[in-house]
Amino acid sequence: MSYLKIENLSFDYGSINLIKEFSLELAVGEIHCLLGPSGCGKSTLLNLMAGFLRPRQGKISIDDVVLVKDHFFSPPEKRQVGVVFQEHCLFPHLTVAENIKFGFRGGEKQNYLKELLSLIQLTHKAKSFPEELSGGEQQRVAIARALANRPKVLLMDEPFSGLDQDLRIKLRREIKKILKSVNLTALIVTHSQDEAVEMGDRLTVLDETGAYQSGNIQELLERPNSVNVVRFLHSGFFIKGLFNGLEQRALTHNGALAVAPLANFKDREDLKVFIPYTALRPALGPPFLQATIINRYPGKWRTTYELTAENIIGDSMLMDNIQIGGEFDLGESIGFDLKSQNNWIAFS
Amino acid sequence: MKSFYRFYQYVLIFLVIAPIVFLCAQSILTNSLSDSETWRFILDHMLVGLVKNTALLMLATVFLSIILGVSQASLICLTNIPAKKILHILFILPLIFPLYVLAFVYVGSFTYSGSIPVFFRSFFNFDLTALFAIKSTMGVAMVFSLALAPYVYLFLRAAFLRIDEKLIFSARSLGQRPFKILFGLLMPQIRPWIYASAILVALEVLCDFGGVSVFNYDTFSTAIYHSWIGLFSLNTAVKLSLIPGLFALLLYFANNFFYRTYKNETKLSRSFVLFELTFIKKTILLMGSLSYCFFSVFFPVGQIFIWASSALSLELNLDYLLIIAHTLLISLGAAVFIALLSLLLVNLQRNYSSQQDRSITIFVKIGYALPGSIIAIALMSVFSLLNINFFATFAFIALLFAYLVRFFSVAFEIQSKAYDLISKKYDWTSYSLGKAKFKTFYKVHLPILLPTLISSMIMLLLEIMKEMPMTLMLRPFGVNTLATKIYELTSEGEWERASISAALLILLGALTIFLSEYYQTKKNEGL
Repeated sequence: MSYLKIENLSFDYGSINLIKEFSLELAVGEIHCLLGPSGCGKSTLLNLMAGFLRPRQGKISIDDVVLVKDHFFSPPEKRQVGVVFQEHCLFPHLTVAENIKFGFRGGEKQNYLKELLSLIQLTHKAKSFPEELSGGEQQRVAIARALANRPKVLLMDEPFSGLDQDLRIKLRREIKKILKSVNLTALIVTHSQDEAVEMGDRLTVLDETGAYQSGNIQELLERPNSVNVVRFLHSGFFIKGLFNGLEQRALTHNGALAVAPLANFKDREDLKVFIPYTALRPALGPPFLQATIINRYPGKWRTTYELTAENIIGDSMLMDNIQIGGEFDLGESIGFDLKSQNNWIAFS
Repeated sequence: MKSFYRFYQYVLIFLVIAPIVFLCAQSILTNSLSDSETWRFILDHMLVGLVKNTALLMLATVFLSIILGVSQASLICLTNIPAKKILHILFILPLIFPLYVLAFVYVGSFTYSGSIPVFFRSFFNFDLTALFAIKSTMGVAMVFSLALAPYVYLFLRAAFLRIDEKLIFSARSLGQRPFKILFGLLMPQIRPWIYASAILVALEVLCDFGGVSVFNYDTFSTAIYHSWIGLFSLNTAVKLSLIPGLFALLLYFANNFFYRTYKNETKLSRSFVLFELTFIKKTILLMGSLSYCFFSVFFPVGQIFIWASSALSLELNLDYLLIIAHTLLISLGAAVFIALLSLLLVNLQRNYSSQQDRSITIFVKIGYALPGSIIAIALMSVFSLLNINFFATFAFIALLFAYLVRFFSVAFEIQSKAYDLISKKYDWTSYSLGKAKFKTFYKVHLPILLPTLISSMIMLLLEIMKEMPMTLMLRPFGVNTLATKIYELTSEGEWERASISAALLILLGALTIFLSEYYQTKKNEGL
């Protein structure tokens, strides 16, 4: 049963058609991540849902209550949609407790404040001012403040961007726990695949052209609907192929590859076949792909290699020492074989 | 609400512009025989001199103020000179002096019978006035630049502090020497601020009435005043007003053209040093700075207090309590009134303005470019046409209106800049927590803006207390302020008696500057 419903939402930024007929449905308690590169309109979508921007067309409703439709536009203060920004935006003149109480609707009790403070584990900092808190603490207060208004949906815009790696990992686990404990429907904007995969029950991947795809991570990995979705979720490379309709295979310079039936390709149609790096292994016999090392970047845990090969689409491939099966020198040539004969993802 | 915002903005623009438009219309449409004779006389015998005097004074003052201001700002922001905080305070302290106070101190001290030439004659048998006449263009410009250099200093210090520190580090790492960085990298970046501060100084000179009156130096301001008071020709005063008025508007729009800000990633830290000074250089530059402070602060303050103490027993009476009360009452009332009107506009502007709406706020701020005497003349013309008994009934309202026209931009500039620093996301957060626009203003903006609001009121208070020509021409009958009292006494050469009011004025001024710096610090802490 859909709780948050977005239907055919469109928004223009000046003359640019940034959001094109976007639709999405979220169930109660679902954590959904909006994933995409910078400038693809993720934050704009959030602002449209919160009511900070007015869409050109489309409908948004929560629990069957319409927020936007045609000329009807519910202002942000009436939507009961909580928002957490990357910059936290804690009011600098208010203490932690006062910031949280700011969100109380009439009649809320002191107990609720205690409950929220204990939820974010900052009871001891109730009287501190925002400037006295660490980045992680500020983010937790921002979430407690958003929860104080008992929102129907929580929107989070790049909530972990400003934090260091360790804190980020710790915080996203804590926050997922908090959101699940109150069974709150949440939409999180991020550009980090790791974050989206770890936090989201489902994801939506957007690209700069306005195209998008929603689903759980397995669906998106197995049945991506565009080259951009593949590029954003996977690490790998494309090779050119020619579709053979009779055998449902792509004929490439490297051999015939079975193609996943994601679209109705025409016979002899040019295809781009996607090979993830994880599908490769060092060849024992005649290789599927012969690659040459053109750059080598030693790192703390692993060495990254830049390789070039004939017939691949694009200039080079980036793989690590585990994927290529050891340490190599510049100019060395490595042969790769495919681990299995999958149905490979292909696009026309 | 959007339509209310537009209505309010247009009403304010109308209030600011209407008197000026009326002035232009009246000078074209009305004319009497005596008016045309007076105008003909001024045209034939005075106009060339007025243009020459005003232009020369503006150029010389701008030149000297820029030299002083640029040197001071470079010294504070780019060198390792000691006692920067004290020097900063000393450099801005001349702001406590209205031009006419500094003018009468120097006229009283440097004319033939003044204390300094007398001292030189008796001890060195040397006539200082033969070498340097204070009542000359250069003399007036020097005194004016002592008082106006702080404006340039504050502008350029802000400009230097905005410069991206990393740009300078990059230049240094590329082997550039400090002087090459100063002239090749920094000066081009602060050039818009230099132009803007030069225009500000030029406008201050053009708008000044009190200072030039003390020097008996004829400029448009004095000519306008005397046409009305001396020759009883409002029409001539109106016609005369148009020339500097139009020139001021030209400067004002030029200022808006030049003034721009760069958005840099980082800023210059207070501890930044481009020029490492040796002990000798530090000593020389400190001596230079202290000599400026001597002439701009210590000497005038000392002279005023010496004169005031000698006149105290004769002059001080209960009337002064009344004068102080009038000064504070009028200034404070007007400051609060104008600051609140401005706050309403900046708030409406934040919530409802489009780019186009914002661009026309330039007209709301136009009044600051106009000399007070012109605004006063314009208002008197309107009131006399409407047949309102100006002196009795509406004088206070007219005065308040005149202050609004002239000083609205002071409050508006301070408040709108501070408001722009509050991220729009604070508003969005507040809305998402169920607070509508008014509640967001009341619970989020106002507490954050409070130091700015107070700071803008203090600046207004300072400006209005110092203001002379409008207060002089529009004040209710029998009401004296410290500024008008100074004018009354200095016009008769009563320096000692005038210095009591001047001392009170600079004490109040010093207090307001202290409070302003305090709230400025608070404001920076708040964001």
